[in-house]
Amino acid sequence: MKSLSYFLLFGLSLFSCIDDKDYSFSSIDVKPTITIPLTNGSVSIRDFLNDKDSSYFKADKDGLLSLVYSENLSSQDIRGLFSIPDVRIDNTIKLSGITLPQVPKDIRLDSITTQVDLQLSPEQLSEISFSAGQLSFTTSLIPSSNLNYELIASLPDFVSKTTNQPLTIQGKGPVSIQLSNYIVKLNKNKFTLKIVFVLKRTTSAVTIGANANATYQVSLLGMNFGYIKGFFGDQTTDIPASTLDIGAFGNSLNKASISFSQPQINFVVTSDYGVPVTVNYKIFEARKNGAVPVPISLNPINPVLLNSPTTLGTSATTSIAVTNTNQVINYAPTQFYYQASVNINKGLSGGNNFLADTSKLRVRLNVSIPLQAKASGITLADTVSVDLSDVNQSQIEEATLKVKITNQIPLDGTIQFYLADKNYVILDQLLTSDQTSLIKGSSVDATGDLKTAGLSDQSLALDKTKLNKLFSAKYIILSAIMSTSKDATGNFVDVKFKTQYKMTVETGISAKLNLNVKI
Amino acid sequence: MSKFIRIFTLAALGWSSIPALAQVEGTLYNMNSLPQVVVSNPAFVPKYKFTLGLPGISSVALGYANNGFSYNDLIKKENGETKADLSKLSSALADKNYITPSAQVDLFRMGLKIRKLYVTVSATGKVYSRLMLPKDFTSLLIDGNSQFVGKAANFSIEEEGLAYLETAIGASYQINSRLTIGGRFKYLKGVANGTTESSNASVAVAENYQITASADAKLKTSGIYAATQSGFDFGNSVSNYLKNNGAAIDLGATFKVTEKLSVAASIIDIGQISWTNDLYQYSLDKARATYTLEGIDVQKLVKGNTDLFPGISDTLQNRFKFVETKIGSYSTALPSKVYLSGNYELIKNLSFGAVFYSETFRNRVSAGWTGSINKHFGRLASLSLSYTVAERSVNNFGAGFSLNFVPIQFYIVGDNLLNAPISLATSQNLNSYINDTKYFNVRTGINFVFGRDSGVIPKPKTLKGGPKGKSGKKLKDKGKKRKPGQIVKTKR
Repeated sequence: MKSLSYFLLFGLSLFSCIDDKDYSFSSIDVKPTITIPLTNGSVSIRDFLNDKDSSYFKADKDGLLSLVYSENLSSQDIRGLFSIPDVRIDNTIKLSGITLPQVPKDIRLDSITTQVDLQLSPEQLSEISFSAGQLSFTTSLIPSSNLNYELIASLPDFVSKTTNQPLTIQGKGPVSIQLSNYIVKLNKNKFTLKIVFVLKRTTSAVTIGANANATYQVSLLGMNFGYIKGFFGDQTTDIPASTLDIGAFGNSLNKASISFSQPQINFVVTSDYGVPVTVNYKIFEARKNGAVPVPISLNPINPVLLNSPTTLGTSATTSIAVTNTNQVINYAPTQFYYQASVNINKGLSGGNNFLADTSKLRVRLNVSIPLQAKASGITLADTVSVDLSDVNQSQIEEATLKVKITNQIPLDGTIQFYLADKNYVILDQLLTSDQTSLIKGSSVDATGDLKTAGLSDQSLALDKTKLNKLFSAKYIILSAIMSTSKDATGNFVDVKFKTQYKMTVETGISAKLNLNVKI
Repeated sequence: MSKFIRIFTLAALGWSSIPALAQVEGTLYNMNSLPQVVVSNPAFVPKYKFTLGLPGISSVALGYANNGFSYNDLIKKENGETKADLSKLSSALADKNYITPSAQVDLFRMGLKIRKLYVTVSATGKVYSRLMLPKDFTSLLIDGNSQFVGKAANFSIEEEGLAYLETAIGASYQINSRLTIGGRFKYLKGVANGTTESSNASVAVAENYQITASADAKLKTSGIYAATQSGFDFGNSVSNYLKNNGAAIDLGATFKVTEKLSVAASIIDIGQISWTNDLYQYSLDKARATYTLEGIDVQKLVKGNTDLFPGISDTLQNRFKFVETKIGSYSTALPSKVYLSGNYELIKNLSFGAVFYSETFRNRVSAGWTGSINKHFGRLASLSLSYTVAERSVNNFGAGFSLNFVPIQFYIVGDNLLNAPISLATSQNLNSYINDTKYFNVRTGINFVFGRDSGVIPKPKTLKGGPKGKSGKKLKDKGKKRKPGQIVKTKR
């Protein structure tokens, strides 16, 4: 303990000889040079597409990407052209005065046969399969008496769908028959109705007055059809205007000049109507906001006569190709818009037409654009929110951006980072003009296939003035302007974009800091 | 959390700025007035026939060695203010920076000279710690990682910590007038240990700036886990802490080349301790403890994914979390030392000495040398002035001083003591001394000493009736027989 005491005493005396100014730091200086990776990884063309657009891209067995739309634009029907009006037949059978001691058996006294017209025009139907409708039959005697009689209404053109028997109604009525179970054969919209008056058997004496009449009424109401056959006439109807939204082109091609080698856009119209249909596109155009629409040219040229099926229940298709495909694609539409009318039996006065109540005119858009093209001025842009206001910018003495891009995609590109304030007013560009050529496209062979990947490996010293503005920026707007690779002579060639082509991007930043931490 | 504390405790042992004793003491080596001189060479015989050291009194030694940097390397002064300049520190570092604090306390010491035999018995408590910081580690933290682009920074920190009790019995024997040999056997009781079995950690920066950290390390400990548990009571655990047995030997010899020139050599602490108490291993497996900071995934960026840094913090914590496992017994060697020395007696009681020494421990050999001038002022006092080069430090002027009021002897000796009064004289404070110190040790205490050997070698003279030498002449030297020309006492 004594030794320890001496030691402590010795230590204390030593401490009294220490000036603590050397051991109280006013600040700590350190000047590290920090290197950190910013981005890493590979992207393909597909990665630049949003999920919706990506679903439209297909790759063939070689990996060549194609933009493939296949979408039903709309379904139109023309049954609105056809309606069957109600029909009412009122008639009277005059009975001659007669007295009989008894009527040992039923006696047919009189009959009337008429041709009933459905009053359709310009249609001349030959057959209707009813899906709805009601036939009503009523009789009465004038003046009324207790005469024992009945009427027989025969409609031999109405045949039961189930029994194949003609329709007959017997009695005084009232009687109602549902027509949905019947098919009627027509002769240019007409069918036969026969009414027979029958005096019923009786053992009593029967007296019929001299002015006696039997009246009857036959009504066909609420008729609708499952199908109709015949000649439908030369008719025209407008179909509703339709718009199809498409996003495949986005805004990337707004300012781009692009030429695809084999683009295809066509419309396939499928018709269930057994009638010659001609579609007349009044307006058919590609649209996008803020730009004048581009009319779409077709082959066959407008109006287009559609193929029609030969038997009920089948369909026929007609393909209509867009002939100005490149113009449409270059336009980078966001919508297709059309207004059209449909004409049937154009210029015809007869024919065997048919349609069912389920028949449609279906229009499907098929777009197939193999990504084999030459293009320039493709613009990609993105905005990133930043807030470096808490960072002391004076602590950064210098910074270098390292960019290594190994690019199998045949796209050259310049990239610029625009520094913008909170109102998106551009403060400056981060890179000088000679630093923006960051993406070197791959070289391609004569068929547009990858030959060698483009390599860009650069260290870009960032100008301190520009760097300082980074700290006051609220947004960084990344803008890339891209063009397809050129051949050895400097000319654009049709390059192929394949799904296996990758762009490997490795970026990092190295910054020399001068940190002075006050204590 | 407790595991973290244990790891931190180990690290803190190495970082400790408490001055402690380097195991090698060059100035002490030539102070034969002190019983503690035998620490460096068991063949040495102090000037007193009987010495006694009591617990806590006879010797307290502290040391500190840092082959990397001094405090001056950390600071700069501008306009009267002191600033920490970490870049300056970084440039001063060695590739491997060993920070070695150590301490010794004599619990008992006795020495007895019986004719040609000198016997010593001692008990000493020793603490030794060594932290190795690779230059890359601090350099990366201070200067950043850009310097390592295309390379890997070595992060293989190593820590050795050792606390033990040493009970020793030794003896030296004068074979003849020239040669004295000595040896000492040490029975060791390990108290606590932490040893780095393997350490391979790195931070690599690729050409594309991707940063990969990986680690493969095993750290074994004894007696540390229990001490960090809540409710730990050392008093109840003493028996456990005495289960770690070990042994070591010291060997030494001195040889009188001429009457004035002698040389000596010794090997100290050849031995090991087997650790059996409270054994835990803390390990990092490279298969798991690896992580690459690749930057933001470009695909995510293009796709507008906002979760660009998913769980990096958690991933790092999980992958670089030390796995704590109980292990079986293991052994560690002691830091062993080798001394080679020469001493030339210029005139009576004034000699020059030089000692070269090296310490070998866990694959590191550190060497140094000390030159000294040693003067006895009669029986009353002894003084040594020394100059030491060690641990990449060349500014070590040492001193040793003993006051011998028999039977009480007070002493203080150290390899870098003299700069302290110089600093006081020039700056009126110790700042320049402290700030410039990379290597320092001091030993002080009070011994009880009896029977000083005069060291006077009487001239041989012929005495009537005395014993005859080969020449036929009689010799007499305080009743001892000797041959003509024989040098009886080694005087250093």
